[in-house]
Amino acid sequence: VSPVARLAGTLAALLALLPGCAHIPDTTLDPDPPAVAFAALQRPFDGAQLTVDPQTQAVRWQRANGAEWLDPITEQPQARWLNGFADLDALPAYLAAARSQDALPVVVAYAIPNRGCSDYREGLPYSDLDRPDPRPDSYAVWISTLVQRLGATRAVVVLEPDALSADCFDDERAATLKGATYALVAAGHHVYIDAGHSSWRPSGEIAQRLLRSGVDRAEGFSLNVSNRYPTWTVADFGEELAELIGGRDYIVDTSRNGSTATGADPAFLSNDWCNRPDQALGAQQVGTPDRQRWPHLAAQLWIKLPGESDGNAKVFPQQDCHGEAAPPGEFSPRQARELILNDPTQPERVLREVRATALR
Amino acid sequence: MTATAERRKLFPTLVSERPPPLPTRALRLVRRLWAPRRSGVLWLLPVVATGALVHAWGMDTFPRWVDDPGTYLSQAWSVQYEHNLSPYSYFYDHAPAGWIQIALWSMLTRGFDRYDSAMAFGNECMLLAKVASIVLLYWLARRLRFTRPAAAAAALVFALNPLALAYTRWTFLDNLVTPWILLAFALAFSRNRTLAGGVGAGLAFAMAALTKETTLVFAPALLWALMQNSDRRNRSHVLVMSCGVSVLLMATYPVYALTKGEFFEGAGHNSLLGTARWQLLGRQASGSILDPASSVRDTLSQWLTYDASLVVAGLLAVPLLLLVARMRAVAICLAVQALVVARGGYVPAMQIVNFLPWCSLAVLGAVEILRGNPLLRPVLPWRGRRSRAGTAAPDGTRLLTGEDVARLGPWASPAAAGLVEPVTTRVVTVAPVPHPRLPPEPVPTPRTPRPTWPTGTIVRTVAVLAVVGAALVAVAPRWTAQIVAMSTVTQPQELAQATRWVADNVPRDETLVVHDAVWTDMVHQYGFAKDNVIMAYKLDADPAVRERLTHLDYLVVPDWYYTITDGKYPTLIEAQRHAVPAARFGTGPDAVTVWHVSSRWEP
Repeated sequence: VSPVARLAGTLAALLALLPGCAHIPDTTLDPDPPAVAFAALQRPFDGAQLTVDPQTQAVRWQRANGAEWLDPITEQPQARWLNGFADLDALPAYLAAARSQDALPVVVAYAIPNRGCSDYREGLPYSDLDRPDPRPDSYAVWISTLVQRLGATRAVVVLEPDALSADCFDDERAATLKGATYALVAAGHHVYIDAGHSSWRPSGEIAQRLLRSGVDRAEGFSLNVSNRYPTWTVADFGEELAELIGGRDYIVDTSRNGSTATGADPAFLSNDWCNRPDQALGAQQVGTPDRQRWPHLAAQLWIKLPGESDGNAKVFPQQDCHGEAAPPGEFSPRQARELILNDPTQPERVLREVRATALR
Repeated sequence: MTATAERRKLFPTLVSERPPPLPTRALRLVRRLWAPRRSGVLWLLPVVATGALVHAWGMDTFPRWVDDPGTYLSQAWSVQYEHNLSPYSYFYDHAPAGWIQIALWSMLTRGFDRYDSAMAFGNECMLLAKVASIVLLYWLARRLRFTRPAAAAAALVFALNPLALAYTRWTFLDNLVTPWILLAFALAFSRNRTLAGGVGAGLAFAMAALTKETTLVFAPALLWALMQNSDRRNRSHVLVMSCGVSVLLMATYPVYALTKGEFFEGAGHNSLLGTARWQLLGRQASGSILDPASSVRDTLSQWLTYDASLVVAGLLAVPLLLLVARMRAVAICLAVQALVVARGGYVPAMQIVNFLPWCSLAVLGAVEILRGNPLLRPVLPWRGRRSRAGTAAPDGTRLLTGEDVARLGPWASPAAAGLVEPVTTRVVTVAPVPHPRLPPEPVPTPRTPRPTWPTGTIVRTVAVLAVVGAALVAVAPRWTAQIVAMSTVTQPQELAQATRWVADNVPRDETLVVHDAVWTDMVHQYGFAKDNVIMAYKLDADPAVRERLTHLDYLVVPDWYYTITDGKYPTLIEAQRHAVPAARFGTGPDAVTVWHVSSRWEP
């Protein structure tokens, strides 16, 4: 055997060994399969008009007092709140308005048992004043009545503000929310389960609660309802949360978050439960203003009705509530005026008109 | 007639035979090496086989994966594949020889490629270390003048003790220290008291210290052994040489740090002195051993759930061992380790590994002393120094007379010749040199007196055997139950299951925070980019990791991590607050939940 042949043989043997020695990691495995099967998104807000409610307290007060300065509020679309069986009776009028405007109705279901966690008489069955005996299944009955009243009109349902983030959230409440979600979705409605706001609970905890409450079939979740956090903080939180629950969409309540006085600290306004004089109307917009940053933001809309009072010094005895007199839920023209005046997007003409109006 | 043949005829004893052919010579060499070791090997082999079998049977599933083995294996991986001492910046947490040895074994045998998991390769390394430790423990016991059965028993106790079994299965640096330190002592007790023995002991000790620097506490004991065993004629030579080479070898470590400019503390870089200061002074002390709420008590009770008998018996034997010159080094080793645990500083869980071989030597040594092994006679302070066996010869060795042989009984018999220093055998069999030209006279072999067993010895032997038997009866059922339990765990490792899930379900460009035990597998087996796989504690400990961190995708650590509230894992715990569980394996605090973190969350 010649030395050249021997060398060639050795080299060949070494080359044959090389692939065995080189480590080739396995990268052909499957990518992330969803552990939860999420229903396809319906995207109800795409190209939709929102319904202007002709029967809000603000509209009634405006008519009674001839207050044209309230137009910046009364001419804007707003959600319809449903707190019990009695409110369902008034629903057909709102739906009729929606149909006539060719707009999307937005209703807020706000009647879950033990709603505020502290007074068991809040929410159903006790708010069901029409019935003599409280029934344990009255919430399910109420939801099915709601489905019945909504009929063929497809509506957006904001499900139970604060119920999911509250301290008393438990398996029973999760089951209640899940049952309501599934029932409403089965009837063709678009459910956004309320998920509180960005400074309440960490996104992981909220995501787990949403998953327990049937978000897999819901359209998504709502944020900032009745709160005043600026849209950008809420939407950043919404994106963080959306990624944990299979990329569901979310909507943000902007009815009172337009103030620029909050500066860098969004908690500044929201930690004051009374009607702070420096809050402002926010902007409504269907679809996302920034597809890169907030791809899952479906809409900014008025869910809380601007002008309805949060409460007065009687309700929050430890605060003076800035001299507010209206009890919670009642229309406060004073607050409505401040909301308009503080809104930097209102035209100067409107602001002059409002300033010229002295309240009695 | 050739000149050689003529000379052979004239001077039959002076002219050497033609050397026999090579195979014959090789066979003779083998026989010469084998013959005196045959019975030793026959004693040792079953012990090694039993020890290896018990160690290997079920080592995949018990004990549970912990973080330190993962760290060392990732560092060995880095040595082999990146030629670095650590996949992260090396911060002198330990001297690097331990994982360099693992890396060398892997380079020779492609260790990381042979198993599904690096932890399994670590298990293999520990099995090898265990076998080496058993052999060396036997050897050291023989050099401490144990009889073969006693030496085998010492090795067997070390091999079968449940506490030792649990802690030697984990890939700890201390388990790699054990063979080196046993080798150092065995060489220090070199039979011929040679310079080579001393130098070898020094080198082996340096290797032990480079494997884990905590070994340095054994230095006084080793020095004692060298002093005690060295011969007056070469004592200074042996001591200077062995200390010299030992220090030289150990000095490579600080010199390495010096050349990297990382010896002294300074801003913006790791340093050997800085980390040493942290290890010795800065680490959270484990508290007093007397305080039932201290963490050292937790560690202690963790050890003692496996077995208390060996450590307790070993420590109880220390005073007795101190009375026997040959056993003092063992006593010092144990006493020093006990002081380390009792001093009130930081005591890691693997500290117990440093007790175990010495405890089994101590216990069997005590048995040997009490039974009356004449080579391990206690010097009782109240009875003065006993005269040594035999009489002094002019060359400084001692000669055994017939009377001595009678007194030593079976210990002086040819069967026990291995126990008696070789010089003495030479002197006993000395015969007058015959005149070269005379045919050799038949020399009558001196009759060795028939060994006799004095009554006292018999009584003592029986008593000690009875005590040993009672101890065996007391301990055997519990040890057996523990060993069976450790060998028959069927629950697979939760971390392994979680790793497999991640490998099957997570795209390769995602960022993972993982338990140390699965880091190497994620990178080596499953092809995640090295920089995208972060060991949990590096999240907050390594500034370089923090700097390049923009988002996290998955967390793969046992659930108990999230209950650590002393600020060791703040980023990890915060990340979990922005995550949902994707998969869960196991139950209780050791269960592993794979958390999917929202990548929108900024750490």
